[in-house]
Amino acid sequence: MRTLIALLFGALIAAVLWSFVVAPGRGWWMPASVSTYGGDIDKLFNTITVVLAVAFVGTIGGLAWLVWRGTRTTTVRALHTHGNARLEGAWTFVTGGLLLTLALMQLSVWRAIQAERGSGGKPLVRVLAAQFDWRFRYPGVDGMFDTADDFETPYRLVVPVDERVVIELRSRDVIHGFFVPALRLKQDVLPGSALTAWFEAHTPGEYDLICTQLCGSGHYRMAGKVQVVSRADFDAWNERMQREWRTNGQERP
Amino acid sequence: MFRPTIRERRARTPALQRATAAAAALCLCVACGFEPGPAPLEFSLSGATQSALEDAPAVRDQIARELTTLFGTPSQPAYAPHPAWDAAGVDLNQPDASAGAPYPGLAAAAETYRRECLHCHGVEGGGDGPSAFGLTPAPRDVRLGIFKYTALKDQSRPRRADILHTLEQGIAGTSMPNFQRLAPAVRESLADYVRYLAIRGEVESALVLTWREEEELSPEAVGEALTFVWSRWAKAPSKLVVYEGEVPAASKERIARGDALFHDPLKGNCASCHGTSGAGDGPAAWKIGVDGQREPAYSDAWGRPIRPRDLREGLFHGGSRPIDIYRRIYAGIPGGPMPALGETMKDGEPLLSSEEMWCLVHYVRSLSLREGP
Ligand code: HEC
Ligand code: HEC
Ligand SMILES: [Cu+2]
Repeated sequence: MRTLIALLFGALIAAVLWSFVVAPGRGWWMPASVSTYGGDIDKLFNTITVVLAVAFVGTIGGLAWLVWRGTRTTTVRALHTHGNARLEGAWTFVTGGLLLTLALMQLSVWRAIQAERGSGGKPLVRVLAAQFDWRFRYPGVDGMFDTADDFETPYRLVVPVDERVVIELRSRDVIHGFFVPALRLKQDVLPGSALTAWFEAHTPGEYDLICTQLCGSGHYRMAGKVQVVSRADFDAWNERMQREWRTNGQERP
Repeated sequence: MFRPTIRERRARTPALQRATAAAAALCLCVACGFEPGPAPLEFSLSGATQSALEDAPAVRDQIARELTTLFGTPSQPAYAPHPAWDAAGVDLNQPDASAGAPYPGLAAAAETYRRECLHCHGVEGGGDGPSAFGLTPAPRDVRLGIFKYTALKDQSRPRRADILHTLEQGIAGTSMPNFQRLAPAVRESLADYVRYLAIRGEVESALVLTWREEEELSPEAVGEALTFVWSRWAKAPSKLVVYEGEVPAASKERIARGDALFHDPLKGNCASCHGTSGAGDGPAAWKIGVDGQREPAYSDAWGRPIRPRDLREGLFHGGSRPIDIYRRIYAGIPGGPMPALGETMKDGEPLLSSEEMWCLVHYVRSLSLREGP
């Protein structure tokens, strides 16, 4: 029994080391942030992870130690207790204080990212989520949605670099989650409402977009790409898509 | 109450240890990637063939053998050399010149199809994969050779570019997803595999028909079936619907004119099916069934009830570019009642000029846009 406990606790320590030391070293955690607010998010994320990791290992370690100690004595009956008010008070206040500190720490980041999400100007693009595809609707020449020159494209969201990009998120059926790890942006997409979110990418490149709400049988393949390009490239792309939208069928099927 | 002493509890640990050892062994198996491989797939005859040849099992077997000779198996799909292909001057095993490099080939495409498409479209492309259950609209049986969303007229068989377009864009408003996450060359091979399944299925029903008429299946008859089936695919490139000139802009006047044409029984007559508001509730498309309930009046080539699209939703299955909708109006939608008006004549005159069709396009699109009427 004691070997078993030692083994189980050893496996736990190994798992903790694996996921907090080895895995990040191998780049299996979040990809490098390319978002202006990514650094703030990462700071919060790391703080919370460390606090939780310490609490988790401490709790499980304590538990393992108690079991370990308990199995050594074979004749004495276990102590029966109705609780210890002082001890319980202490751990309630310590954890409460910890959570309150975390809550206060994240306020400014929350404000910058969530509270200001509507104030970044007009949406550049409308994200349309549906089981199990992402489609992106751009407003065309007039900059207005739901007009004759809007164009739509699946899979690839193209945005300019170094600019505050506001997106509008809509769902056609169920809840979906718009998550771009490299942008540190995750926003649920709710049917029946048009939510906005914003980001500013500082490095051009192609980044993964995934759905993070279990939205149905095809959820696993509800993926897309976010492509961050220079302003000039964005304008050229926009222009080309608009032209293609008005095609008379000769260049492409 | 029974409270085990510590001694009694210790006596039970071997069971726990055995369970742990078993769990560890299982983890090891999973971690080492040991799993039984999938069984090789086999093509079966379609339901239509089986019921048509219910009392001729020998013919059924013969047709199954013929198909295996001509098309191979799901693990080794290939068009067998046959004089009919030579006579037509094609080698379908060779990828089109447009195929992106490195082109994976039909066998690799079959593997991709198995992973990505089979669960909806079925082994033979019959639209009967396990995930197809309950989908509306459900995937269709490609063995009929009818494809709805192409750029072609005359209910033509699709070009490779048409199938590719579907794979690139998905079919909005249905569960058919886009496959842009696959490399372009992989999508091209998949398009070729879809064509392969369709041709195989068409040959299957052509063979059944031949046997029905001639009571035997001679090698010549098999060749004729191949030639006949391929002749329809070979025509596709000449069927492209394009519009010469710039696509007319969506002006208020055009939308108003489209509105009139849409409702005019002697012109577009679209409202008869699509309803006055475009909601798909036109009188021609619905009937009262035996149980007194309203049900679709038409059924499609696959024998399923079909209802006109609700045009106010803006979910156009064949694409929502103006040219896509122009093509739907010009060439109809194969397999269903939606008429092809592009070349319809009335009293020696075209029923609709292309300008009138563009007015209809802009009117239809305006139903889901803000500046709609
Ligand atoms: C989740 C289910 C699903 C998967 C997976 C799927 N399809 Fe489909 N597919 C459909 C449905 C449903 C339709 C019919 C849509 C409609 O009614 O317009 C369809 C239609 C099609 C069509 C017919 C288009 C036409 O013009 O009539 C083709 C071709 C096609 N799929 C190819 C594929 C290929 C190739 C794959 C794999 C790479 C694939 N599909 C994967 C559900 C699926
Ligand atoms: C006989 C009935 C009928 C008439 C008349 C008819 N339609 Fe349709 N239409 C249909 C049906 C049925 C569908 C759905 C086809 C399907 O799902 O395969 C459809 C679909 C459509 C679509 C959707 C295409 C897409 O890509 O999803 C458009 C646009 C359309 N019709 C426009 C028109 C216009 C414009 C007219 C008049 C010129 C017209 N229809 C006349 C029955 C009709
Ligand atoms: Cu989703």
